[in-house]
Amino acid sequence: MTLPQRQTMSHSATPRFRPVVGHAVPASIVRLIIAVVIVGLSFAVIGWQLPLALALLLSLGTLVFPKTPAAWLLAGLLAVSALGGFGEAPGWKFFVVLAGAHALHVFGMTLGWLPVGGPVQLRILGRILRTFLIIQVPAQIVALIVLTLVAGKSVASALTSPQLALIAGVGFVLLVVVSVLSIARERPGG
Amino acid sequence: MSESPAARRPAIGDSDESTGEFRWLPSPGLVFGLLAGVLIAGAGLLFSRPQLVLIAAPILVSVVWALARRPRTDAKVGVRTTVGGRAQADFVEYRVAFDVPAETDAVVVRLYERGRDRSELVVDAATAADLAGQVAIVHSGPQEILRVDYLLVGPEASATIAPARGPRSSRVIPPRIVPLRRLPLPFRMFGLSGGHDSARPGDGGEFRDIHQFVPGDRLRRIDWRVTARHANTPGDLYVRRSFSTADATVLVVMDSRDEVAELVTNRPAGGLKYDGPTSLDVAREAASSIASGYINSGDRVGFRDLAGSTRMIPPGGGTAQLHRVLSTIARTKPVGAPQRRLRPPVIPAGTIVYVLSTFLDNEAGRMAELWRVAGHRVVIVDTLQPTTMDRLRREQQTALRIVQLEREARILALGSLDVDVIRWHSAGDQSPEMQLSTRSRMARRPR
Repeated sequence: MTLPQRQTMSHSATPRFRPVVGHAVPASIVRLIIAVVIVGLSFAVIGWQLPLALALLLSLGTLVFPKTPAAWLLAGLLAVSALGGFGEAPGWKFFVVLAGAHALHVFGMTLGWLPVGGPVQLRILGRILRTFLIIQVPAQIVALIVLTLVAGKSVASALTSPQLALIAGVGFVLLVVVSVLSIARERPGG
Repeated sequence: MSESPAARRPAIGDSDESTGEFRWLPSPGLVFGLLAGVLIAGAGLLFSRPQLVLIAAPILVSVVWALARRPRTDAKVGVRTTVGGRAQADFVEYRVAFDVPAETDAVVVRLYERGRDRSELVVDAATAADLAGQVAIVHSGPQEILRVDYLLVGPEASATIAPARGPRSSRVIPPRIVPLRRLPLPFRMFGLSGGHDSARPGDGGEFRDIHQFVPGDRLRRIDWRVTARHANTPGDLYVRRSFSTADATVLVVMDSRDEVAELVTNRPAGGLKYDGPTSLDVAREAASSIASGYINSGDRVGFRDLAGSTRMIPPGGGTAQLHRVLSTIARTKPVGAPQRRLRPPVIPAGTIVYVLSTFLDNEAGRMAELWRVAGHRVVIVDTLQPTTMDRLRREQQTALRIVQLEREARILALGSLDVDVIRWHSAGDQSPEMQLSTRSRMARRPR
């Protein structure tokens, strides 16, 4: 059972006792965090260049009209912006966009049903974050392996070594196994 | 002093339920994600950019994962709200219990308290199985306490159901009852028993006179001392005579044609947004208090609503009558366009009539005047709250002043006809109890 908690209405003096939902965070804060992440991502990847205006417009679209494909268009824009020239080794921006594009997909899926106000149980946000990490961490490791193998003279190769690549590979296999087991356990009736 | 707030709460455990079967609607994000992933990866392959393929990979994996976990069958949802129970003063507890499918990741609950205060929360299925809160009770009468709308979110937000309406819980909130000890009585009382002295000879009342015994007098009424002192001839007997007792007949006439709040700007129809008491709250409280006061004193009380003849209770006494009258008063609500009466309802002779109204139009005053002219004692109870002129433009303020002056003129005109005027919203020395107590000490004979 959850006990009621006293809150005060902004437009009236009548106190209210809404249901308490345990550890929760206001939906407005979640939206604010998402906005900061999206805008920060746009600035970090694009910088002060012309496409930034388009990125900010798409960011606004993602937040205000979450049922439009604005989040995925922004992911595409960031992916292209992080490419750099041919033969140029991918830098840190690539890894940021790798996570950022995935995060935009998750934000787009979440903002569609997230209310504007009211508390959101942390448990629900934790579940979303866990799924994100289960996919994203292996993705980062695979990206590192691929770039180490494919682009030997890349920045990535400067950051890594064959030993590190081996460790990353083993980690990747373990993560895949954990992910598959997790899916099998959580699947209804599974 | 007023009645305990506990008495204002509806019965414990009254519950409302709604069930439904809903289709899971795939999230448009899945399509957008799939398209974005394929396009980014395709561009990577087309332009020999493996980075793009790598960026698209987690998006595509997310989409595939969500598709794999999406619900396959329709969602059967049951929602049960229970209103009533022990709470703090002037609050009613409620519980909402959701029965949702196992594959539900999140339940977006939208609660409308008192039909207007909206709050949203996002919880998991386990928490949604038992949500408890409280609603502040501001107004009396029939009202919506709680409405629940909801939305279910499937695993990984792969699907949602369309926003659904849950149960609506409406209850009748009884008004406060102010204990009234001394109440005015009718000019004449016709009952044969009761708690008040009558002007007619009979049993049970105060001493009236000593009179010579006549056939029909009871033997136990013979006063032997007086007989011994005054008897002139053998056989002369003297009896002590007393007044009989009587009960008062009271008619409470409530004008439920409109409901007016303190804020003038809040008066148009379409739901009150103001939390202060309205004229109908005051009228319900006044009517319930007056009816309780008289019936508890052994008098007979009837009820009429000026808005129509459907809510009419003939005068009667006793606990059952009190419950009937209080229940009818609690259920009164504003009526849109009532018909104009040609003549006042016929009421028993020697009735004291209470007319509870805002007197914003002539109708209630006209009825009161006709009853007074017919010889009844009439008490009018002004139920209009003091009005504020906040947020009014100059022309609106002028219009309001004109309406107020017309209203005061109506009340003054009734006062000049020997109609007692009670302002229910006054406090302190001029509280309703004090005003009624003062009227109760006044002569019962018409002036």
